[in-house]
Amino acid sequence: MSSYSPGEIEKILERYGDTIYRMAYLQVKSRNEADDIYQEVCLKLLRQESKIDDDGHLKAWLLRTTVNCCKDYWKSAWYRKVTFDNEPVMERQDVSEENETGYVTECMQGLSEKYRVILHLYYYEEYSIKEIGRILRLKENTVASRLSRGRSKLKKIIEKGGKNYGVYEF
Amino acid sequence: MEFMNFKECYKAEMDAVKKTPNLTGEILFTEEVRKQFENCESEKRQRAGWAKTWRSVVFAAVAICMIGTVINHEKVEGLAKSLFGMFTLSTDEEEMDFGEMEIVQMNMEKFIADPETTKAGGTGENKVLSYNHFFGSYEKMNQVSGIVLPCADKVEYTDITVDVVPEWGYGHISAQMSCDGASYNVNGIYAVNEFGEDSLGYGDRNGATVEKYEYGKDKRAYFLEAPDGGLRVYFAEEGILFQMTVCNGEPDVPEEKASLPYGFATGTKEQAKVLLDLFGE
Repeated sequence: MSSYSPGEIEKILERYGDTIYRMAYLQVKSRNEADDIYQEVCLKLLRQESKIDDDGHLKAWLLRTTVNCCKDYWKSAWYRKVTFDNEPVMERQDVSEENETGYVTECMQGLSEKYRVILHLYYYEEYSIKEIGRILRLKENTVASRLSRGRSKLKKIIEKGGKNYGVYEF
Repeated sequence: MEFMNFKECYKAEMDAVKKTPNLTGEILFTEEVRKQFENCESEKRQRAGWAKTWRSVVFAAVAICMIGTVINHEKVEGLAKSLFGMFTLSTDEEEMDFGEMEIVQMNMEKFIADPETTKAGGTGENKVLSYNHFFGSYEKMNQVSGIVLPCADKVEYTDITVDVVPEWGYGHISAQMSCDGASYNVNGIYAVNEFGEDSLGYGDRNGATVEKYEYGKDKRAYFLEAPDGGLRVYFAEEGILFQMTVCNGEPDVPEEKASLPYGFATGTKEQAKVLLDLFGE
């Protein structure tokens, strides 16, 4: 069979489950929504027509699919209904009781999506600019520019939060 | 003061984020999901027949394209050669050039060796390292990297980030540029000594040229406006192709709004032209 069997999917999730979940959580900033995104990615893997043999490509595919699922989630009618403006997630996070991440992650979540994803892939997953370009299907110039701009914006967010940016080395 | 590394802090925090325990494979394959899986399999089998037909059609199309590519190869090669060392900007409407690229004489060894320069790179065999450094002032940046920014004696540069990928032979720079009470967010792209590509530049698919502005001797800048009203100007100085955000008629908007999506700017188009004239002197 050319597609993944349930057993193979379980193995993949065992290996990359946290990778998917972290990206989803960083994007949607809530455990409940991250759970939904995670399951959506699993279903997309289930529906894959053919297997991805290379591990690196599989991880890249999972990350890209997670980012796309988050975008779909933001576009969904449910999300539009329960939010009130263009920056709703931060407001929801403020009233949420599930805020359990650290300060730097919170600051990362304050960035807009296009910078947040790139910074996460660069600093956490340790992909190069070229690799990020391939994963997100963006030009290297665009990735480098967003990386640079994202860092500047993150610095401002950290400063606004009352912490001294000077003690962080990028 | 304890020196904290952003990457280490972020990694430590994110490592603690783990998927909900009951989201494992066992829970995934509930009755409902199993039904979906079976439906998927059935759909796949149905599509398989069609897929064979499509594959034949695609194979024929690819073969025709390959023949066309071989015929055009010489033409393409000729075009690439003619673009050697050019700074370029492309939009949906047109392709502009800013003349020949100057190689920026960056002090790479010193920049990489500086203790505050951080390196990052990909994983696996094709790992490519990039080096980056955030500077609070122009003087420090110039001292460590050797990079010269235009009219640094008259223009103030702050929040400067320098990135470079030596293996690819080019780097990026971003900064906040201030002059005569006006401020602009700038990004720049530049080639270093080992640069081996034919052209380097920006592609701005959402921007439409609103004005070509000539300043100094044989120097030109292009103002581009995005559909959402964002205004940027592109120009080349000191071997760097700059993309500068310009305030598009709303200098009083709060910084949070003005900074999205193109970076913070209070300088208007007219003020930007005065700045360009300064570069042209």
